[in-house]
Amino acid sequence: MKNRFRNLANYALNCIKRYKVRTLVIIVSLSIAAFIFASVSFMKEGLVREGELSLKYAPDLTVQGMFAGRQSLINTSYIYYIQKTLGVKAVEERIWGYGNIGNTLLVIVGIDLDNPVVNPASAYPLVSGSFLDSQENNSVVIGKAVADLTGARVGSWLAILTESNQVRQYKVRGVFSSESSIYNADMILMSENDARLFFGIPEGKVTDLLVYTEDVNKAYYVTQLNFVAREISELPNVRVLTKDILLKAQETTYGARSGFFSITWFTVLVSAAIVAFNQTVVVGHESKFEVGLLKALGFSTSDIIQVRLIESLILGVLAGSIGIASGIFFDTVLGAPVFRDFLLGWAVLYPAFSVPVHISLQTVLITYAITIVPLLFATVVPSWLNATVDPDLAMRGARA
Amino acid sequence: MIETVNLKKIYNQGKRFQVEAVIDANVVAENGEITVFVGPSGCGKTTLMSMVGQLLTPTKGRILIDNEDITSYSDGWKAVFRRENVGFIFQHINLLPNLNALENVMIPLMSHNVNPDEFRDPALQLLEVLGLAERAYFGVEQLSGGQQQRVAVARALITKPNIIIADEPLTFVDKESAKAITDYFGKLRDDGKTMLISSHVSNLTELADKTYLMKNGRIDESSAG
Amino acid sequence: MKLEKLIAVEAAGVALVLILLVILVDFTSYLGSSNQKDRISLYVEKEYAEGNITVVPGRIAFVRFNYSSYEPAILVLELVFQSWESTGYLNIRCNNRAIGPIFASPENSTVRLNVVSTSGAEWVEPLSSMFGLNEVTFESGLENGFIGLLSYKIKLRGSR
Repeated sequence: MKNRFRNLANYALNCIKRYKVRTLVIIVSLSIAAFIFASVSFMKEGLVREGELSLKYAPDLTVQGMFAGRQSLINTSYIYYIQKTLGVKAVEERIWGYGNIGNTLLVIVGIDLDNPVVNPASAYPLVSGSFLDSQENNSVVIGKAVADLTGARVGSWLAILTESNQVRQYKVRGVFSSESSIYNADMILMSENDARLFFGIPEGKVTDLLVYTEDVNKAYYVTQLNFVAREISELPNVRVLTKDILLKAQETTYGARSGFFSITWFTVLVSAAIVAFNQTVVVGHESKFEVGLLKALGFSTSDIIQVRLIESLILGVLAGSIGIASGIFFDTVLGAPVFRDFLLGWAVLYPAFSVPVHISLQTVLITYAITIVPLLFATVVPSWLNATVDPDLAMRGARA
Repeated sequence: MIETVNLKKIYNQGKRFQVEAVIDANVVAENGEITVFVGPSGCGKTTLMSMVGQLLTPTKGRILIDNEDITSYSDGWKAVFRRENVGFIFQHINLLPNLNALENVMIPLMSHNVNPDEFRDPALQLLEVLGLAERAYFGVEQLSGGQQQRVAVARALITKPNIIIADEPLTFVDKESAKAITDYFGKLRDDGKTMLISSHVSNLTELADKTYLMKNGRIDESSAG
Repeated sequence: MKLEKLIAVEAAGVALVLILLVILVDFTSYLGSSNQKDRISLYVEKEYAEGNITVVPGRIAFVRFNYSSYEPAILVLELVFQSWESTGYLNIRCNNRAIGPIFASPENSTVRLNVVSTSGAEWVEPLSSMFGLNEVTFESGLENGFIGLLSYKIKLRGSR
C-alpha cells in the first residue's frame, strides 16, 4: 500500500508540473486570499489582545455622565451614592480628555496619586525616568509615542497651549511603555489636579468615576457586576460601562473593520475557486480524457480521486504557507501599511514597525482551511464526475 | 477463455438518437490465441472490445472470463480486473503528452503496489525489443505515429497482462512500425497471451487463429474460423 | 493595428502624459503646493536658528527665523546657560505668546523646551505671506530675573 500511495503521489506531482499555468494561477490567487486573511487576522488578534492587556488594570465599571445623548462631565457627589451600593469596594475620580497635536490625537489622563485604588506605577511601567510624585505639581509621565512625536525626554519641559489658549508647562519625569503599547503609547499622565487645570474642568465635576467591585469568586463576579451596574444606572444622567462592554466594543470595532477585509479575501477566494474549477473543466477535455485513459490502464475511481486530493493538498498547503508567511512579513517587518491604517482607525501615532501582531494557531489552521477546502471541491468534484463515467465514453467524449 | 453471450450495447437508449452499436454478439476467444474482428468502420468492433475489456458497460448480455461472469462487476472490481488482467492498445494511441516514452510505458505501474524503479529495466527492454531503445527518453511529440504506437504496445505489456486488447492498432502507423508490431503480436501469442484485435482492413487476419466478421453491430456467425 | 500593439501604445501615451505633468508641476512653482520646502515630516527635527544671547533686565533679546509653511510644527528650544551674573527667571515668548518662565541656575543650566499646541492656534506659522518670519524673545524679569549669557538652538519638528 505504501508503494501504491507513493506512486499516486508522484503522479499527482507530475500533474502539477504538467499543467503549469493552471498551477501558477491557483497558487497565486489562493496565496493572495490567504495573505489578506492572515495579515488582517494576525493584526486583529494582536489589537484585541492589546485591548485586553490595556484593560488589565481597568476598573470593573466606569460611570460617565450623560446629557442630551452625549457624554458629559459627572458630579463627584455621585460618589457618595455609588459607594453605598452593595458590592462596591471603592470609587475613584478620574479626569481625562483628548488633545490634538497636528493630526495626532493624544490622551491626557489625570490620576489620583494620593489614594489610588490600583498602583499606577504597575499599570504604567517606565522605560526611563521616575513616576509622578504626589508632592509635585506640573509633572508628567508620557507614553513613548508622545516622546517620539514631541521630542520630549526625561528632564524636558513640555509646554502645551491648551484649548482655552492658556500655556501650561510640565516637567517630563518619565517615559512609560506599558505592556499594552497601542493603547497607552499616546498618553500623557499627570496628577488629577493638573488635569483639571489643563482642561478647565470646574471643581465638583470629573470626566468619569471608576468603580471597583468586591473580590468574589469567578462564578459570582458577573452577577455582582451586573447588579452593581443596574443599581448605578438608576442614578440620573449616567451611563455605566462594564469591563466586558469595553472589551466587546473593541472586538466589535476590529471585527467590523476586519469585516471589510473579509469581503476582499472572500472575493479573491471565490475567484480562485472558480479559476481552479474552470481550469479543471477547461483543461477539462484533456483532464476527462486523462481520467478515462488512466482508468483504462488500471486506475480505479478512488485512485483518481486520491491523485486529485494529493494535488489539492500540495497546492493548498503551498498557497496557505505563502499567504501566512507573507502576512507575517507584511505585518511585522513592513508594519502592514494601508491595512494597519484602516484597521486602527484613529490617527496613527505609533511608529510603523510596531503594529501589534498575534499569531495564533487558530488563524493558521483557518488560513490553511480556506486554501485547501475550496480547492478540494473545485478539483475533486469534476474529477470524480469524470471518473464515474465509463472510460471508453470519457475518452471518446473528450476527443470529440 | 473469453466468451460473450448475447452481448448488446445501445447508446442513448430510449432517446432521440438511439444507436444499437452491438447486437446479440456471441464470441468465443480461446486462451493463447489471436482473435481478430474485421469489419467496416462503425460496425461495432471497438464497442465490443471495450465491453470485453470492461471499458464500457453492456446494455445486455454477459461476459465470461474463464467461466466467471464479470458483467456485473462493480466499478472498483472492474478497475481491479483491468489492472490485473488486461493491456490495451488504442486506435488513437493515447499517450500522455508532456511525458517521455519511458514514462508513458510505466504509467500503468502507478496504480500497482510496486516500486516503479524495479520496472525501469524491463520497460527499457520492451522498448528495445520494439526498436525504440534510443528514443526511450524522447518526448511523445518527438516520435512519429508508428513509434508512438510501439510505445503504446510496450505500455500495454509492462504489467504482463494475460489479455491484450488492441483496437485497430495499425491505423495511424507506418509500414515499418506495422510490421514490427504485427511480428511482435505473433511473439506474444507464442508466449501464451490471449489477444483480441480489431481491424477494418484484413491484413491482420493472416495472424489470426480465429476471425469474426462484423457488420452493423452484428457478428456474422458463419465467419468464425 | 493589432490589439496588443494598441494597448501598448495607449499605456505608453498615458505614462508619457503623467511624466510630463509631474515635471511641469515640479518646475512650475505656482502649480506646486505652497511651502513645500519648509514642510517637516513627522519625527523629523530641523534646526532653524542658533546663537548666543546676553540677557540683561529691561532689554528684550529676539531671534527671528523663517518658517513659511502652514503645516503645524512643534517648537523645540534648547537653552544652555553659560554664565550667571544672577540666577533667576527668564521669560520666553514665541510670536508674542508666553511659553513661560524658566528658572536658570547652575543646577538647571541645560533646558530643553518642547512646545506644542492642542488648541486651534499654532505656535509657529507664517506671520505674513510676504516674509514668513517667526520671532522668539528672551526677557529677564525685573525682579528675580536671570542675568547672564545663554546659547540657544531653535528647532522645529513635524507634527503630521
